[in-house]
Amino acid sequence: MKILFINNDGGGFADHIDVDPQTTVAKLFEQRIDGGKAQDYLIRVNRQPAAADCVLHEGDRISFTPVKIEGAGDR
Amino acid sequence: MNHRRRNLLRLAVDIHSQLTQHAPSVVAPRWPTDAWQGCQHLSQRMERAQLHGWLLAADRLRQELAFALALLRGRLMETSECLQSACEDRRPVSPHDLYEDILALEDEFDEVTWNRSAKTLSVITDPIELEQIHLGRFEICLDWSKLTVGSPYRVIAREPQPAASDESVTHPHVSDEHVCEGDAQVPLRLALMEGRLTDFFLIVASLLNTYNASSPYVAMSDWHGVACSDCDTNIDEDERSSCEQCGSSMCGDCNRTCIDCDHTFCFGCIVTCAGCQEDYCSSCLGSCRQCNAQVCPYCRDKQERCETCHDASENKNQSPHEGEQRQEAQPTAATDPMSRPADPALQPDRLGQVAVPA
Repeated sequence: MKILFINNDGGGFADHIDVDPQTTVAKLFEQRIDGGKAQDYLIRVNRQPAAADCVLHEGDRISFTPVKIEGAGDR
Repeated sequence: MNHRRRNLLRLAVDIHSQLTQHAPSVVAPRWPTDAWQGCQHLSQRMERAQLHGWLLAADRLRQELAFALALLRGRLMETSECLQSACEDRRPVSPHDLYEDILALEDEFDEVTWNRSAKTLSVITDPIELEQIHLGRFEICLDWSKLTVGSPYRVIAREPQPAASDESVTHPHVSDEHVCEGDAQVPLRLALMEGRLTDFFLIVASLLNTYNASSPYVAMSDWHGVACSDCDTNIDEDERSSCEQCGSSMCGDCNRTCIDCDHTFCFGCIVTCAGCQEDYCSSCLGSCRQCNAQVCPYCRDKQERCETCHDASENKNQSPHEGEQRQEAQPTAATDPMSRPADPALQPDRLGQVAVPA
């Protein structure tokens, strides 16, 4: 099934991806955020906070936004 | 649908029309015509060589053509990939997406406001505290008339707690209401280009909740001001200087300047020349070869001795044959940088006396 996956970490990414049916938020996080901790991200499914065991459905929109993003660097 | 929802929908439609009107145009592909022409040219030369029976030349040109064709194939692949990624990047956004995004903002932030005539959409963050310093709430104000241009937003301190040294810095990464985006730059641009408003505001909020100690406008450790390392008073940013050697901060009254290299130093890093008593940095001073006293280049002789050691050595040399030495000393005095003009009133006895035969 297809979902819209948005990763606001690093270079940013927003695209439709294929996931297996019954994929949970935690599973997708594990697959997509290498070595990341869920508590370091704002995780939203269809723009609403979601639990780790929330099962994704066809057409869902899921976004991972880091809680900490370092500013500056181009002073 | 209540009045507020209707207004939200109108706002979403306005933003959508702005996004579609000013969407970045698709860049025309750059065809590798030069590579193609190069292949054609080589092919013609190869045919001509074969026609004339120049077999070796024809064989070399065949090899060159094979190489040129491989290059052309690579360039065509690049063009194809560029076009493909440009198509993939442009995920269409609908007014409904924007409406849902603005609705979600109301769940994420306590206060969401907009002004359709000014084309702004704002949220207010929770109070922000970094390194145990309270910075207050911030308004993130997006100018949606410029969504695809530069940084179309301002970050306004609602309860300003600016740095003591610079009033325009209300957050370590915000100066004059502009954010130094750092790692957030690319995800912010993408979110704005794709009209993902919730993501945009969440990324800015995350950025404001993070302190990057390696590159702030004003370090949190200096937020309440920087004390002069010498007199301990608070230093204004205008009169603040740093010691070239140890990096400590000094006020205008306490900084010292090396009179040789003209750099600024703190009291602890400046050294007084043992000869002329002027201020120098340790790099511009040298040690006397004999007594190790720190002296400036102007107070050392050619043998790297200080004035005292120079004089002592001269006196020692003079004592066994005082008369001859002094007579010989006269011509060298003019060339010796350490020598001082002779004072006729202080000339020793017998200097310049010549034995006159009776």
